[in-house]
Amino acid sequence: MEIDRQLLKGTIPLLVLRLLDRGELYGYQLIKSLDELSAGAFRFSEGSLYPVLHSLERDGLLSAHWQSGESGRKRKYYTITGRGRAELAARLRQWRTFAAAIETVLAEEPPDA
Amino acid sequence: MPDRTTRRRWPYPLAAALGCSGFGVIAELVNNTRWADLFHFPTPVLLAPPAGLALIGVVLGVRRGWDHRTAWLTCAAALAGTLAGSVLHDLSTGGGALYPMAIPLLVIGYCGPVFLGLLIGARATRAELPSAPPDQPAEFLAHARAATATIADPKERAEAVAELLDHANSRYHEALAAGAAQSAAVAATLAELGDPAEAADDFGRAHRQPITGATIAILAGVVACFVALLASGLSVLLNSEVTAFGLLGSMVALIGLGGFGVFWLRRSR
Repeated sequence: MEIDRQLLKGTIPLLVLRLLDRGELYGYQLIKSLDELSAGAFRFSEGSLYPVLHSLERDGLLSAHWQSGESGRKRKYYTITGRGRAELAARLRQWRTFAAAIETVLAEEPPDA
Repeated sequence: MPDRTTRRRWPYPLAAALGCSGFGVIAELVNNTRWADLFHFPTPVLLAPPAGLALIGVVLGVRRGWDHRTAWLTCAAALAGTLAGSVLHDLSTGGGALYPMAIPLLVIGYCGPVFLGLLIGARATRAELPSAPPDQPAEFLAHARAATATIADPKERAEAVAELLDHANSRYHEALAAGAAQSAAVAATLAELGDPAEAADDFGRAHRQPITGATIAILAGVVACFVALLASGLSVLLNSEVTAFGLLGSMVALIGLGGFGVFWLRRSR
């Protein structure tokens, strides 16, 4: 099932921070990981991912460095910072509250007409 | 060795504050020696702080591009450092070494070199946009250029183009390895890259330096500095030095408290 892009867009920073909390990755690896972990539900275009990565880097939540990969090509790797981890914890709490509230509302039986 | 792209911004204001307060301390240390005249207007030694600030601006521009937020912080730190050095001098001599009316000139004399240096440094590192690798279709470069057209800083744009080209290259070779024909691999890659106009909007937002609370506080501090110093200058003219130094002290306290407030607000956000 295809997920609405606008719905997905707001969750990209949380997902990116969560993945980078496990280790450094470059953009293409991030997109592949998200695709695999979500069994194909989260398919981001580079146009939606890279601006988010750059915003998070600008805000000090990620740091980045260029490094030669196995193929010899230079790639930009992203790493989560201490501030990024604190932000991730806050966003996770927020998301759990949000998801629980949505579930509660959706589970509510509609009143009889 | 990795090439680090995320660079710290605190060394620039710190260097400015230490340099300017250090200059004041040295002036104080040599006050009663034969070197004292070197620190009295007009001597070339007095050009050292603006020259040092211009150098800091150049380094900032080279390493971080047109980072005006850090440049403003550097100006504010330089002023705070000078005021700290001056207060030390006043406490030891019991008088006003820093003529209050000179401070507005200091603001111009400090911010000017920092921003001039920043301009020189940022322009000196104007990076050429990377060209497409020989084994990569030219369409990817055209897409990457269009998607990053809204990134104002040339260095940041060149890096973003290189990053997008690398991504496109990975996707393209993956499609080829999966058995796709070259034209199909190009089409699949371009489809996955998304709309360049939409990406350009997002990149523009991501690379814009927002006017933050800290910037507003610094600008307000600089304006407060002007007003307070003009007022203290007037009171000196009216022979009321006690009022003048009261105003100076209040201003230093105001900037200090403002800085602490901004720091606290940003930490607790």
